[in-house]
Amino acid sequence: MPARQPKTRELCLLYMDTIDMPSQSPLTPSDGIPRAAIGDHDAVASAGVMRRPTGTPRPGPAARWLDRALRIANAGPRLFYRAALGSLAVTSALAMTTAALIRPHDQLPVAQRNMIAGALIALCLSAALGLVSLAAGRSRPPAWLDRVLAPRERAAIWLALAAWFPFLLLVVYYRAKATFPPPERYLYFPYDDKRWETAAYLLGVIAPAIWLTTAARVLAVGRCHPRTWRAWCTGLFPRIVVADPSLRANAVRAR
Amino acid sequence: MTAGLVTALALAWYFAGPPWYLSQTSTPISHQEEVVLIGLQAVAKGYLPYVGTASVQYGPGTQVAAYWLMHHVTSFSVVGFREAWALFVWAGVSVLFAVFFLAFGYARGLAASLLSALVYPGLHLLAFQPGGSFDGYFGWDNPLRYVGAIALVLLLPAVVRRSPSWRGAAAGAAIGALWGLTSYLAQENLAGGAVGALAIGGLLLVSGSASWRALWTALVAVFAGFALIWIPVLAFYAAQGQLIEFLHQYFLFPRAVAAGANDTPWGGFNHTPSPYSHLFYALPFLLAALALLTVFQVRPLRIAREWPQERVTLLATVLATALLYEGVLLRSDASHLTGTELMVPALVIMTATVLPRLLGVQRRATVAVAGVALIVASFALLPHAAYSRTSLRLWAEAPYLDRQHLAAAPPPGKPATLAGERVGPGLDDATRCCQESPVSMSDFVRLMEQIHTLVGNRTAYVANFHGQYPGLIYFGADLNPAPVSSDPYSSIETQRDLRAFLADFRTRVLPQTQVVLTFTVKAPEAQSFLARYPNAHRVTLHYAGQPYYLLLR
Repeated sequence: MPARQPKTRELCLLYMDTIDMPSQSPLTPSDGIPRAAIGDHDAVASAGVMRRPTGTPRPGPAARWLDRALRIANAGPRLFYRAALGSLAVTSALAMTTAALIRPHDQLPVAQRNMIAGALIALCLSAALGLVSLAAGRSRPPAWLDRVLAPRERAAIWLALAAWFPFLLLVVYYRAKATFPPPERYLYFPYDDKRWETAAYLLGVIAPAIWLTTAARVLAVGRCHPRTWRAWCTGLFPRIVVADPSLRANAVRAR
Repeated sequence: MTAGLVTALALAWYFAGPPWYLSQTSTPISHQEEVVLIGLQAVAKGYLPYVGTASVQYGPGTQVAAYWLMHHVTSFSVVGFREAWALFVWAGVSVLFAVFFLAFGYARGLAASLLSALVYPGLHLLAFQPGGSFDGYFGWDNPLRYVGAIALVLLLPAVVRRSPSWRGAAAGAAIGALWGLTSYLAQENLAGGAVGALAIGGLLLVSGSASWRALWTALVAVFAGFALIWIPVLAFYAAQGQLIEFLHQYFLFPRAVAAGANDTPWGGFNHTPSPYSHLFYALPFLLAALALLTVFQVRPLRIAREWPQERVTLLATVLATALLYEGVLLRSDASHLTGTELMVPALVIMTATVLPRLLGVQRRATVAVAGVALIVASFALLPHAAYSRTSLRLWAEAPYLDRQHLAAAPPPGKPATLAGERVGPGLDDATRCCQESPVSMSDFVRLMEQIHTLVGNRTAYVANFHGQYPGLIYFGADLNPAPVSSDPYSSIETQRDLRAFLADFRTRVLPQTQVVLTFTVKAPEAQSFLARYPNAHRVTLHYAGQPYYLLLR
C-alpha cells in the first residue's frame, strides 16, 4: 500500500526525480526515450539521468547554513509555527509603522487608526501564542492532530503563512495611500483608489494556493537533503514528472 | 473534439449568429457608440488608426476591425457599425463556447455553454432579446474583451501536457496567437492572460504536475504566437513614427483605472441597487475557498502534489474567474461584472463535477447528489428571475422567434440623404435619435444634413453637442476632423492633460481648423477660434429647441 511506504524513500524519489538530472534526455513521450518507471529510483539512476544525493557537503558558511536549514526542514512543524508567529509579529509592527507614517499632513484618518488597532491586536496575539509555544516547550501535540493533518503538511502550512503575512504590508500601504487626495484632478469620473482592495483580493484568493503548494514543495525537496542551495532551488522545478499520478501508486504497489 | 467544436459553433450561431436584421433595431444611438464613431470617421478621412484624432480608450484592433468590416462587409453607417459589432459578439461567443468544450470535454462544455446562454446575464447584455430584436450595449459589450485571457488560462495546461512536442508547440502557438489577437482587440486580455498564464504555469511546476522543460517550451510557443500578431502591429506604428504614441494610448486607460480613475464602489457612487449584488459580494470568498480546496487532497488530508488533469482544470477555472473578477473590483457595476459572468457558469459546472471527487467522495450516487446540490446552491448567487422556467424558456426561444418575426417585416428603404445613409437604413426613421434625447431621428438627420452642406470638406472641430458626444456629429455629418492630439472626451482623463490639449489646440490645430461647432461660444476652443479669427462667420442652427453654432472662418 502506498501509505505504508517509508516516508523518506517516497520523498527522496520526488527529490531525485527533479534535481539531479543532466540537461539531456528529457524523457518525454515525444522524444522516443521510454519514460522511467514511475517512482523507480534505480531504473532512473541507471538510465543515467540522475545521481543519488550522496557525498558530504563542502564545508563553509553556505554549507553550514544549508545544514541548519535542512535540519529545520526535517524538524517538523514547531519551528515553522514559531516562524509564522514571528512573521505575523514583524508584519504587525511594520504595519503600524506604515500606517502611522503614510498619512495626509496633520491628520490620522480613520483607516489608519483602524489599521494600527488591527495590527496591535495581531501583534499581541502573536506574542501571546509565541509565549504559549515557548512555555509548551517540546511537548508533543495531541495525537488526533497528527491523524487529521500530518506534521509535514502542518509545517508547509505554517511556512506558507510565514511567507504570506509580510505581503499584507502591501494592503496596508495602499490603504494608507488611498486616504490621500487624488494626485490629479479627473475630468469625467470621481477618483477612488482601490489598489488596496485588489491587493487584498489577490493575496486572499490566488496567493494562498501558490504559497501553500510552493511551501510543500520546498519542504519536500528539503527533506531529501539537497547538497547545495542551488540543488534545493532547482529541485523546486521538476525536469521530469509523473504523467499520471495514479501510475505512481501502481508502481509502488507493484514493488 | 470535433463533435464538441461543431456543437460549440452551432450553439454560438443559434444564440448570437446572423441574420440579426439590425436595420429593424430602432434603439437610439448610445453614448458608447458615439465615443467610438469619431475614431472611425477619422480613419475614414485618412488619419492613422488609434492615435491622435482617431484615438479611443478601447482596444486598437476593435477600431481597425470595425472600420474594415464597415467598409468591406457591412456599411459605413451606425447600422453597419452595429452589424460589425454583432460579428464581434458572435466571434466572441464562438470562441468562448469552443474553449469550454475543449477544456472541459463535451458534457461539461455543453452544460457550461447552455448555462451561459440561458441563465447568467453575461451574454444577455447584447443578444436576441425576448420578444424583441438583437439589441443591447453596442460599442461596449463584447465577449472578445475577455475570451483571450479565458482561452489562455483554461487551455494552457493541455498545451503543457503535450509539450515538448510538435503538437504541443502548434497548440501553444495557436493559443498565443488568439491571446495576441484578442489583446490587440481589447487590453483586458493582455494583463489577465499574462498573470493567469504565469500563475497556472507556476502552480503546475511547484506542484510537480509539469516539468520545467514542458512548461518552458509551452510558454515559448505561446509567446511566439503572441508575437506573430503583435510584431507587425508594432512595426507598422514604428514605421509611422507613432510607436510611443500607440503604446501610450494602449496603456492609458488600464493604467488610469488601476490607479483609481473612474473607479467606483459597487453600484456607483449613488449605490444603485443591483440584482447581482449577491454575486459581487459572495464570489471573492467562494473563489478563495475553492482555490484552497483545490490544492488540498483528502484521505489523508494533505497538500496535493502531482495533480491529475481534473484538479488542474478546476484550478485553471478558478484562476480565470478570479482574474476576471479583479476588474470588477475597480469599476464596480453590473455591466463590468459581464466578464466574470462569462466564467461563472464554467466555474459552477467544474466545481459541481470535480470538487466532490477531490474531496474524497467515491460513491457515484453521492458524487451526483453533491454535484446537483452545488449547482442548485450556486443559483443563490442569482436573482430568482434569472433561473425561473419562464426566463429560461424566453431566452432559449428568443433567437428563433426574433429571427422569425424580424424576417417577416418588409426591408427598409434606402435613405435619401448622406446623413440618412450615415445613420443607416431602418434606423433613419426611428422615433428617437440618441440616448437621453427627445429629438426624433428624422430631425437629427435633417440637422446633420444641414451641417454637412454648410461645412463640406472644411477641416472641422466639434467642441461639444447637446447631451451627446462630438463623435456623433463628426460621423453623422461626415465631417473632416481637425488634427487634434487626442479625443478629449475619451482619451483625456485629467485637468492637466486637458490644459495640454487646449494649448496644443491653440498653437498647432487652430491654424489648420476652418470650422468650430459648439452649443456655446464660451467653450474654450470656440473662444480660441474667435480670438484668432475675429471675423469668423457664425451660423446658428437648432437642436431640441436650443441653438447650435457653426463658426466658419
